Amino acid sequence: MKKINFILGTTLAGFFLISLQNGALDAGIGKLLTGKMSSAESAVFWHLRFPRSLLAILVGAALGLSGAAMQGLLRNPLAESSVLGISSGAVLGAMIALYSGLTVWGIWILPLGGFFGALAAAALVLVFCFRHTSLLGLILAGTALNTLFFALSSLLLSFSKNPYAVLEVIYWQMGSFENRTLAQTAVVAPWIILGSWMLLRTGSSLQLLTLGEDVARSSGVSVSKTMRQVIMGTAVAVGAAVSVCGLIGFVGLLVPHLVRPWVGHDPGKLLFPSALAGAVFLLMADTFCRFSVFPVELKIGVLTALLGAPFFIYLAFKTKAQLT
Amino acid sequence: MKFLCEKLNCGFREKQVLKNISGKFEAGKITAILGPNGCGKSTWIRALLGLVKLQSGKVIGLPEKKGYLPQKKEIYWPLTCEAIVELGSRASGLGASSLDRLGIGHLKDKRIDEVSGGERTLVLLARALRDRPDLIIADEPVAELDPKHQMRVMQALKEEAARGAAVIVTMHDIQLTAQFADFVFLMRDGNVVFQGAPDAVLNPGNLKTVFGVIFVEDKGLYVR
Repeated sequence: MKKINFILGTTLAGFFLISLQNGALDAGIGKLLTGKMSSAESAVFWHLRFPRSLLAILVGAALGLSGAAMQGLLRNPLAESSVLGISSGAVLGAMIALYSGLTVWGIWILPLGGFFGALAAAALVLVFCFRHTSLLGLILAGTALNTLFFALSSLLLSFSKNPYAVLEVIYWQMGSFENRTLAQTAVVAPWIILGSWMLLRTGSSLQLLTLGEDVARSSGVSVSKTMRQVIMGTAVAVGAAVSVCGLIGFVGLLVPHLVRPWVGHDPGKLLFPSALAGAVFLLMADTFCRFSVFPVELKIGVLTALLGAPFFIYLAFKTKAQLT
Repeated sequence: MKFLCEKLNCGFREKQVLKNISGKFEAGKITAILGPNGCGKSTWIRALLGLVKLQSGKVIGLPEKKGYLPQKKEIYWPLTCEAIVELGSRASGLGASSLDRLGIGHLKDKRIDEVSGGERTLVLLARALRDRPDLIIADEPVAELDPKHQMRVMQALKEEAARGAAVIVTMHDIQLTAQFADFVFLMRDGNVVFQGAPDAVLNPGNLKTVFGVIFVEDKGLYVR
């Protein structure tokens, strides 16, 4: 358990250095440390390379951790943040910001719309489950909201008279770390950290939920409180992540499955390694994107889905049938 | 030590599940609750644990340290048997000894999806007994088990009662109840109809009233 954190942590640090060292321009960390960097190179390093890698780590950790927490809460290996409509809520929020024309007020409006969209979606899910605190109800409400949000987003998109706005949304949905600034990174970092902290605190409750809601409650776990913590933690962390980087699919679903062979199935012990593994995974994927210049640079959301889906199918067939 | 519940009422929508039910439970004894399916046995013991919302009534003197074996033996992730017993434990290393006490120490490192249904129940029972609780509530602990595992479970519960714990079980097996219980509640339709020592309560007349079927006394086949 401790060993896996050490290995993942070291790998993450290593990849962070590699991603900072290499790029189209020779403006790596080696030059920075030896003081041989020109001001232009320094700008590339601090305004392009460093925020991009840092953001990939933060967002990867948020997605991996929330996926693990969500799978633990819902006790379903197919769960991730999109199951509860949190990601699609973010898309709808961004869409509303764009369609209403508010985005002319500043580049912050679109991400802000996304963030509040995610929070609003989480709040709606919680309202649905306020009276009926069953986890099955939560999945049903989340799935319905997810569909509704996507439908509303499509509706807004089809009403849009501005083709550039449509294009912008489509690109935003694909997910990318391209051209993100240090300021953007600094703004989302506290939210991702806050959300992650909320999620990490649910470990022992998620462990007891392994034996069902009754046993968990008889052991002193408040199921509704755990539910709130996981949903709000996910909304804050993933909402912040989606708001600057767009939709990056499959990471939350895939990462816990990558970690399980080393850590086991204990949902509490899975949380922290999933955050680390998510960070490693997304940083590696983004470094690959940076070097993949076909006609255009590959979008990270597209890459994770392209890599994730086949691997997930492989995993599903390899893994022995789960318990009912 | 004893604890009691007074005039518990509980209902879901139109259906009243518990109707003014009261009962007393003593330490060192196995109290068995019998009755037809859907008569409210599970709801009653879940009410004792505070797992269902009561319309009225109260539970008095409920012990702090409780062990609970639910009717639905849910285990969602394939952990090892030892890890399952240790779920929620503050002290470490109690898993192996608790499994040992039920005679299934050899299952320690086995994954729960690789053991039989009977062993699965024993593992969950080992978790319920782990902290040596003052109250053990087991909902149909021997349903779906073969005779050997039934005896193992009942004997383990008897040992817990002998240690001084209050043990409450819901049962369907009349013979096992007669053999192991110290006190019996016969329930029907959200109410206790008969209560007392097994010898006094478990007779064909009472059982016909509660279950609506005729029991023949001289054809009993007891498990020893």
